[in-house]
Amino acid sequence: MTRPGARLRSLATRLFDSSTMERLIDPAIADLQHEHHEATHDGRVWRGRAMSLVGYGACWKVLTIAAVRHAVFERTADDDRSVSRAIAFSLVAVGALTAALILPELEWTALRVSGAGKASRLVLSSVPSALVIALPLGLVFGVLLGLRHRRPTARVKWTVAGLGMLCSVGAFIIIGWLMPAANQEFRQLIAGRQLLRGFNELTLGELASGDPVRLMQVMSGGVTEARLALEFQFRVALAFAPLALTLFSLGVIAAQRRVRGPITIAVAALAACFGYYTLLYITRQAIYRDSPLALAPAWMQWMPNLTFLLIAWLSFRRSLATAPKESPQ
Amino acid sequence: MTVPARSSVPTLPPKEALILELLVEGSELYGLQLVAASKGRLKRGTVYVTLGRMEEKGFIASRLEKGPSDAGGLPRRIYEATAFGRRVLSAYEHVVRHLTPEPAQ
Repeated sequence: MTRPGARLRSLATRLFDSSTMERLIDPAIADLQHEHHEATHDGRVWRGRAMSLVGYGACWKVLTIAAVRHAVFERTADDDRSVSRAIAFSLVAVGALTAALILPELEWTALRVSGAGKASRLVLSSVPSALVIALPLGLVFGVLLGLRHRRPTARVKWTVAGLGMLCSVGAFIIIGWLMPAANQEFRQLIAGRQLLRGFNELTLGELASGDPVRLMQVMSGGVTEARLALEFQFRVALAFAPLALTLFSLGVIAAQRRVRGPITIAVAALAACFGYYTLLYITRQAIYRDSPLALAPAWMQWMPNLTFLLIAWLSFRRSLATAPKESPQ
Repeated sequence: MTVPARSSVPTLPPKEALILELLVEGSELYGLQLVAASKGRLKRGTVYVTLGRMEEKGFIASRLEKGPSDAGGLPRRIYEATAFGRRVLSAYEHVVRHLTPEPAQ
C-alpha cells in the first residue's frame, strides 16, 4: 500500500530542488506519515484518516509557500529575463490584437456617429469585448515567443502559470460585469436611444439568477432557464481560457527539444488560437443544433479548455520524462 | 569604534524567539513537537518555513532521526539550538527585559 504523502512527494521532487525538499517538504510529509502510522497502529482508523487530512492540508500549505518562494524570491537573472520577455510579448500581443479587433468595427461605426466625445466613448466601450478574445490569444503568443529561447525552469513555469491565473481572474471580471455594461453602452450609442438587452448584455449575476420572468422585462427576445444556464457556463469557461492557454503554451515550450525560430513559433501560436476558437465554435454549434453527438451542454462548453489542458498535461509529462532534473540551488 | 553593518546584526522575530525558547528548554525537538509545545502559536503548515529560515541564519541546527522511523516512512528532522542561537536569544531577552516599559505607579 502507498504511504500517505508518497505521491505528493513524487510530484514535489519534480518541481523543487533538493534543499527545498530536505528543509521544507520532507519534514512535513514525514510528520504526516508518522502521525498516520501512530493512529492506525493503535487501531484508530478514523483518527488516522483525520490526521491524514490535517497532515495533507499542512503539506499543501508548505508546498504553496515553497512554490511562491521559489517563483518570487529565489529567482535568477535568467528567470527574470524569461518572465519579463513573456510579459512584454504578451502585452504587445494583447494590445495589437485588441486594436485589430476594435479598429474595423470603429471604422464602420465612426461613419454613423458625430462628435469626438461620442467616438471616444465608442472606443472605450468596445475595449472589454475585444479584450475577452485578445487576452487568451495574446498570452499564447507572448508565452510561446517570450520563452522560446530556453527550456523554462520550474520557477519560470510557476510564475507564468500564476500570471495566467491572474489574467483569468481579470477575464472573469471583464466577462462577468464590464463587458455586458460596455456592450449595452456601445449599442445605445450607435442606436442613439435606450435599448432592451440581449444575452451578451446580461451580467454573470443575472445569468446565474436563472430567473427568466424577471429578465424578460429588460431583455429583447425569448429567454429560458436552460439558455441562461448555457450562457452562464459559456462565460465562466471563457474566463478560464487565459489560464488554460497559458498552461498549454508552457507545456509546448517545455516539451520542445530544440529552439525554434520566431516565425515557426508565431505560426504555432496562430494555429493554437485558430484551433481553440474552432473548437469553441464547433461545440457551440453542437449545443444549439442539439447534435446527437453532443455531451451535456456544461461539458461541451468546457471542451476547448479541457482539450488544451489535456495537451498541456501530455506535454509536461513528456518534458519531465526527457528533461534532466534541475540542479540543486 | 566600528559600527557593524546593518545586515550583519541578527534579527529575531517573535516566532523565531519562541522556537529558540522551546529548543533551549527542551533540548532537541521535532517540528510537530514544537507546534504542540507552542500551544497554537506555531502552525504546522508554516513551522518548517520558519525553521528553514532560522537554520540559514545559524540559530538552529538539524539532523535526521537515526535509522528508519517507527512508521517506516520518511525520517523526521530533529532541531536543536546552536550556541549562536542561544546567545541571540539571551541578548533578545536582555533587550526585552530592559526596554519593556514599567507599569505606571
